[in-house]
Amino acid sequence: MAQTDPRELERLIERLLDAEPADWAAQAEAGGARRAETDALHTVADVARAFRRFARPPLEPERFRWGPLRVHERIAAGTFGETWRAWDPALGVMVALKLLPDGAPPMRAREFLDEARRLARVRCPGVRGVYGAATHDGRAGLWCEWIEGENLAQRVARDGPFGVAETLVAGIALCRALAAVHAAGLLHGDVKPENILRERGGRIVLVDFGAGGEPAAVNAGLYSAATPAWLAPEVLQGALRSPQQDLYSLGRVLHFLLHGERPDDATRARADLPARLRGVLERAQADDPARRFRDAGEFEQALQGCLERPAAPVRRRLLAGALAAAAVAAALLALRPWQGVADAPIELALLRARGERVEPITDGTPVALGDRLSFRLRGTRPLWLYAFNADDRGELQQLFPLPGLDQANPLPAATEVEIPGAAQGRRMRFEVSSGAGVEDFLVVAAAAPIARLEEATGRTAHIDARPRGTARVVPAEPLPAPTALDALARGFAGTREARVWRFRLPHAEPGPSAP
Amino acid sequence: MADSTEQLLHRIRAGDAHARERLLARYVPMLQRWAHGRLPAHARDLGDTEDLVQATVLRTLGALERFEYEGSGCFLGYLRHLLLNVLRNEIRRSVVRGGHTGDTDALGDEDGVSPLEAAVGRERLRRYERALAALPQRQQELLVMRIEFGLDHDEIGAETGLGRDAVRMAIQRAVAQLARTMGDGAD
Repeated sequence: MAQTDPRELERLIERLLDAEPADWAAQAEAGGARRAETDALHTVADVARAFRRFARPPLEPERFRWGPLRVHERIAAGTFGETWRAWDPALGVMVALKLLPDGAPPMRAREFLDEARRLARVRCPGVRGVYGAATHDGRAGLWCEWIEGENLAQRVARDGPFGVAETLVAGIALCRALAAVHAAGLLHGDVKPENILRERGGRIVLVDFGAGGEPAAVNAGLYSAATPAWLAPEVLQGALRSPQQDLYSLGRVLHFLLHGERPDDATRARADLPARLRGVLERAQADDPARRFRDAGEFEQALQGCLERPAAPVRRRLLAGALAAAAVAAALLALRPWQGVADAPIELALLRARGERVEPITDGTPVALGDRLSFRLRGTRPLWLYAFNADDRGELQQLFPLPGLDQANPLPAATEVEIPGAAQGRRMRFEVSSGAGVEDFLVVAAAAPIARLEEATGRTAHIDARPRGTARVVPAEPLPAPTALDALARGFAGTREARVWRFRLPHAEPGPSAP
Repeated sequence: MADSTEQLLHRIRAGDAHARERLLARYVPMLQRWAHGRLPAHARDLGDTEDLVQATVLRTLGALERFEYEGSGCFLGYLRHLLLNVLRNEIRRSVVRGGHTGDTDALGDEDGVSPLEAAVGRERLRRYERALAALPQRQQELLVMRIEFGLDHDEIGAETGLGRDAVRMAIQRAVAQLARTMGDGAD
């Protein structure tokens, strides 16, 4: 067994302190003589994570109340108004509250609230979620998700340029975020590193729509709050704003992440930049708008194509056999219209890893602290997979898809995929790190995106959209019934739209064989 | 810029009621969350965790002359230490009242584990606590501020007077020492 590099322990400590995910199982397996220290760090990471779950209250005292919110700390102020850190007692979460300046004209307040309503239509984990908008005490405001993290400009200033894989993962997440924004009929208008947050744990989130909105409204204004350095050249020459220009700005942001500086003629591409990625960035930032990506989906596809996916020979053989099976299935399907996946051949297995042993388990199998779980899926056509579990309050926690994971929907046909898969090349599993209760999973597979699940993943305040295990605080009491998971499962009863699996795994004390 | 804890304590000693309110507002909610995570299910119906925390902080402020600020975030560590003892006593009392049996050192019993124990596991938590208690005072305080109270490096810097990088390095060293201590005690 390999010895753990002391620098690897240092890196683990840094990840722990930054609340970054780590593959503790793999670390333990490679731990060698330092296995005990690796295990200890795992414990410390769990302690820190548990305390984070107890929700950190504000350090600053309450300054005033705005409607139902307790407002604590001013984060930013400008001509647009003020941003405050506030506590929403109804949701039980910290929120960011944006308030228009006192005495803003009624017309501006109306526009502001309209804008907030439009923003609330955007449902995507990569876009800061809006919880509500209202006027209280004469001040219009909107409150939205509080992101604990830092913006990408700060991140690069502190740690230097991103690696290629990290940039690709961020780029793909941002393409999805912009696709959701554009699908809602909006443009962001000011895509730049300062407006992209990296939440602790790695989630990438697009924020601040102050320069954006509906294209017609943005183009009707004489003044733009956008930062010129990130804008497409035709915008600087007075062209009308369009969603495609957000993609140009994203190209510049990705260049910045890779090089640590804004692109200009003097910038030389870094030596380790793959030619394919260089081509993608050049196309995204082409001076001629006709040469650029048509939409965020095309941009995302191009970035996906740059991700290295090494295929082992065994996998290739499996793939060849599966492709033949897929061809037969496709021929059969061609005989009748595709209605759903209810009868489609999909194999889903729940795997439990204990130490180096990995075995399939069934619904009802007891699991113990430290068990690591994953799903193995194989279908005959591309699939959209959604995996959830319930927290101690019975509320949904999304497990897949998640930003930061290397895998995303749709999952490829005729290929065995393991969920959650890897994050930036590191294999991940869901770890049972709670000592009581039940692990309750719901897995849904469909032949097309399921709008209400896509919405659900972007709507709730309780989703922890980070690569994570089932690490959560579970009380000794049973889950409240009916849980949100039950409600979600009921929504698919009798439908041919999707296949649904449910796994309830009672907790057991670790047996002598458990590491 | 918010006053540092040291400045607030200084002003409280001089009789500044506003500083006293500021300090309470800073620490009481944080300690209440922390305490809630450490109470087992049967003790959660004590219902007055918040009062318990508030009373502990107020008692501490009432006896400030006995507390010497050493400029390393130790006030939070000091409060945590006091509160841990208060909670243990309260749980012991609730165990006697409710007929529960258990190990109050671990803040849990056979019937109900604390949220912290549920998340981490009793034995693992015990190892963490023992190793933490064996570290030098300064390292304990840094770890408690970062791991248990979730303060970021700038906030810890404001409490300790250290620069951001120095805080980061000191905490990294403290975690490494904690892991070694826990590892040594694992056999």
